[in-house]
Amino acid sequence: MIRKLRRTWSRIVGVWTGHRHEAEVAEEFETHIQMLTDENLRQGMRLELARREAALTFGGLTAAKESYRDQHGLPWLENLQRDIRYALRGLRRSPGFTAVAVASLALGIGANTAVFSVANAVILRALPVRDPGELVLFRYEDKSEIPAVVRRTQVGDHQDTFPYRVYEAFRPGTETLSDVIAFVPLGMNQQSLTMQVGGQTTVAGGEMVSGNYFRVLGVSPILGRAIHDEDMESGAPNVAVVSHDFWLRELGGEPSAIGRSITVNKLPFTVVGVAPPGFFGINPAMPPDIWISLRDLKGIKPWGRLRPGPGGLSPFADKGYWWCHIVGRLKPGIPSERVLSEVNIRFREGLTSGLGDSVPADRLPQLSLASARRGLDNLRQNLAEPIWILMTAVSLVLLVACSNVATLLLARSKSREREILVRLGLGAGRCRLVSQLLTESILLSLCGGAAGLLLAWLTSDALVRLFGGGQTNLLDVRPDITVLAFVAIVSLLTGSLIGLAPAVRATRVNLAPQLNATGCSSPRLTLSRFLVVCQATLAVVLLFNAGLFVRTLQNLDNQDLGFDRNNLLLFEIDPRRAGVTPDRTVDIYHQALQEIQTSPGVRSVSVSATALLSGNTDGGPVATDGPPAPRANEACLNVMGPGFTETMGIRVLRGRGIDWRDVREPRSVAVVNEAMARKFFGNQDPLGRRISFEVPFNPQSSFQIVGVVGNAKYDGMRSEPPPTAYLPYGAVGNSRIARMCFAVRSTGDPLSLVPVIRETMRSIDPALPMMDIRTQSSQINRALEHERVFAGLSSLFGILALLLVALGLYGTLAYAVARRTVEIGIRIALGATRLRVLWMVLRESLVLAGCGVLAGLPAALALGGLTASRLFGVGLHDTLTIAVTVGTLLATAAVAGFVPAHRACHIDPLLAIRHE
Amino acid sequence: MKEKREIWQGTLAIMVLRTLETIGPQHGYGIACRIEQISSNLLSVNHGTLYPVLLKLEQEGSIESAWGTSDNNRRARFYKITEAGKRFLASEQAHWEQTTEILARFFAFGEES
Repeated sequence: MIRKLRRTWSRIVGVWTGHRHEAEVAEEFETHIQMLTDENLRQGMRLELARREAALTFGGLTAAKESYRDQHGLPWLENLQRDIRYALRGLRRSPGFTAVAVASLALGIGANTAVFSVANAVILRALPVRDPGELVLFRYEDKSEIPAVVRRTQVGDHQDTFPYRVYEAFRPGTETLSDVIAFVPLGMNQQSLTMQVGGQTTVAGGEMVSGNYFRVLGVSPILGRAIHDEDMESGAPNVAVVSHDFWLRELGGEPSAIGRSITVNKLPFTVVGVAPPGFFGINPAMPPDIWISLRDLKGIKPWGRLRPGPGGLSPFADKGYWWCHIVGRLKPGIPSERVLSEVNIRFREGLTSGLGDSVPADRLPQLSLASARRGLDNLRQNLAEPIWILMTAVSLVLLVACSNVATLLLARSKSREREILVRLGLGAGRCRLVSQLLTESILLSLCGGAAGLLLAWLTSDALVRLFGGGQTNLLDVRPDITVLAFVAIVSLLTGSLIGLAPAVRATRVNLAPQLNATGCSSPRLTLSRFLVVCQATLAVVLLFNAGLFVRTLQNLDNQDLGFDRNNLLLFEIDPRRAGVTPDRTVDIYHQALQEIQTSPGVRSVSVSATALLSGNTDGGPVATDGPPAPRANEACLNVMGPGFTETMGIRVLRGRGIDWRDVREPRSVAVVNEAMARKFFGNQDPLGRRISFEVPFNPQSSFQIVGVVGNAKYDGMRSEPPPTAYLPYGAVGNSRIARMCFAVRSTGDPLSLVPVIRETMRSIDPALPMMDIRTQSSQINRALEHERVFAGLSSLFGILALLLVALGLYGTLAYAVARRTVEIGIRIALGATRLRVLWMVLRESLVLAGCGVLAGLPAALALGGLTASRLFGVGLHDTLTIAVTVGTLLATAAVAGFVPAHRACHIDPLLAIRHE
Repeated sequence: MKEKREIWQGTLAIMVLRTLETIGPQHGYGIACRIEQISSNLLSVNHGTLYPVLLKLEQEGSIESAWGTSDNNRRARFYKITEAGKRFLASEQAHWEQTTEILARFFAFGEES
């Protein structure tokens, strides 16, 4: 074995040292023959005979040398080396062809690499923790019939939060889960905490985590220590682990940061550790800046809100409050059914403990375990579908580029026909020739791949900005080993794909020698026409989809939102974070509204707890004073100030809006939108009826409906306006209005009001900063950012494909015209008009494109089913999109065909015929 | 065809190694003469076929080579068996002895019956 390895190694080395050896071997052989001759001479032969005898004894000198050479190196490796050298020389000789081919492939492969690196970062990459494959996220099947005693309120978007006691039930570990951790975000975004670091005030996002969090994830701090189980006990000192990012940003990246004290929402904490770089917790959509231990602390609000349960219970003790994310680590090698049945038993015990027999088992939810290998996947879920669509689109672009380069190679192999013929005639093996031509195409695609990688690397920053929105730190799209492997594989595949057909065809020349005699139509041209039609087909698919996405974006942007988005300034204030006592909060809002209203340039002003289309909503189950509904009915709610509907431009359909008396007195009244009126009251008159956000209906905390307003978009641009109730801010609990968003309708540019309003706010309370200042239209743009990127990239790929088609058409036709020079010359000589000749060539271009349309449209419609869920306000059979797609392609074909057509009709018949 | 060549190369390799083991460093001509001499000219080979075998043995590390001067003052490449080569020769020798013994038994068995 070792001897074989040694030999192989020597042979590989021998490939490069061969030349030096050859001379030595020749000398050695020469010496040997000389010695034989000497011996023969000694035996008395004449010199001439001695020579001949010596040569006979030695045997064939050439054969010996050849056999020696074969053994010395590796013949295939030497051939490959020679092929590469040959291919490089060939490519250098036609720089134009090489440049076009490499550029096409670089665009194709580069676009694929760029999209793939995003897919890799967003969808494929696992969490940077120990054995991420073992992590499972607790989820449950949502059943609205879960009894209120088990689940009264829930926070979080998906079915993945649980009451604290479920975590406690699992904490000791189980037969199938080695450990279970719990964590809760401290707000809905990364600005939800106010922190004081060395006298500086800053905002940050954070998480409360169970004491075993870092240990179970296998993440050790690069400085200091992690959070321990002891930190969860009540009375233990407040400690925090900060993210690497935060450490660099706010703590100067110094080791002395350990032991420093910081305040979080006015509560003092000691920094005890710094998390390793790249560790962003388990939810990639919300990387925390600090981690603190999961326990009841005054002033620290899980999920950014403080909503004590019945009787002022803390969330930890509140059995009906579902708020903890739970992640478990599986013990290896246990079948999933066993894990599920075991955890479900424990889950039921945990849920029903202390509740007696009052809860029937069939009304409890089923626990399911989702892989947490890549973390909580809100961001990933949102991006996964568009990324896969883009991935498909971009691979079609690569296919177009491939067939384009294949067309070029075909034309090139034509001009090499003689050379190949001669080589075949001299006895070169077809296999060797094919491998030589393949080497050339693979070399091209590798160059294209390298250039593409560079392109992807250069654009990676832009991509992050495009896809990540504001959260650039969580998308690491720099090429890693997966991306490199992807590029290598794609390049090799591309090279084989583009090279195989032309190579096989080129070496088949000798089978049909008569083809060389006749100058006209050859199957090679048919093949390149076929390739051009393929390109056109793919381009139609890409253009059609891009068209649909652009129409979708337009529809989203221009739709009737139910309110007037123009000239609206939004900003938020959070009086409690500025130290305002809860009893004064409402007064602050009153005062701010009154003073801003009188500012110059302000048409009207109002305030709401949640800005429309900000990505956040509030809501829950609603009961009416009528007969109880068979199942819990959910509705959104928003808290607002006087004149909100007027300021936003929401129409009041019946009754009235919220006015000053409602907030001042306050009165328990509500305004509902049309959707809510229809959902809860059907054909009945909602005015005067009462609703409560407690189920079953609670008259004490109910609101009387005084008005019905038009529907306005609230949660998202794509979704229908949800049933929504608007409540006056004076009439709801303080927790709902801790932070509110002001909406100022301006007469001119809304942003020009900022200095005036800032001055006004300062005069009310100097410690009250305006936060998150933006206009309503910029907020809508932000909401449409992904849609815009998506439509933009789809269009870019469509245009890329179109350009490649134009190039392919031009190349094929120009080549055809060159080959038909004589024929065209004769036609002109026989009296064909120039116009006729022009049309002849142009028609061919249009026919090829037309074939592409005929093949492409059905394909696009068939594939359209995959993207239907991304469309908005536009159907698959949208005539405008189809017309634009077909029109664009045909126009491109006309332009691409015009140059060769023009050349054809200016052929001088005399010259052409004489040339023959 | 190929197999036959490999068997031939294999036996030739053993002869070469044995030769180098007994007479010490030697050039290609010397090895060829020695093999002819030992086999009493029963084995007449083209001397040229010896060189691929020498190359293979060198690549496998059984022998090593260096340029030197022959008895009659010619510059020649001398081959020398290495320790690894000696070990390999010993194992090959055992293998051959076993093979020939077994074959011999078979032939003897045929004659007896």
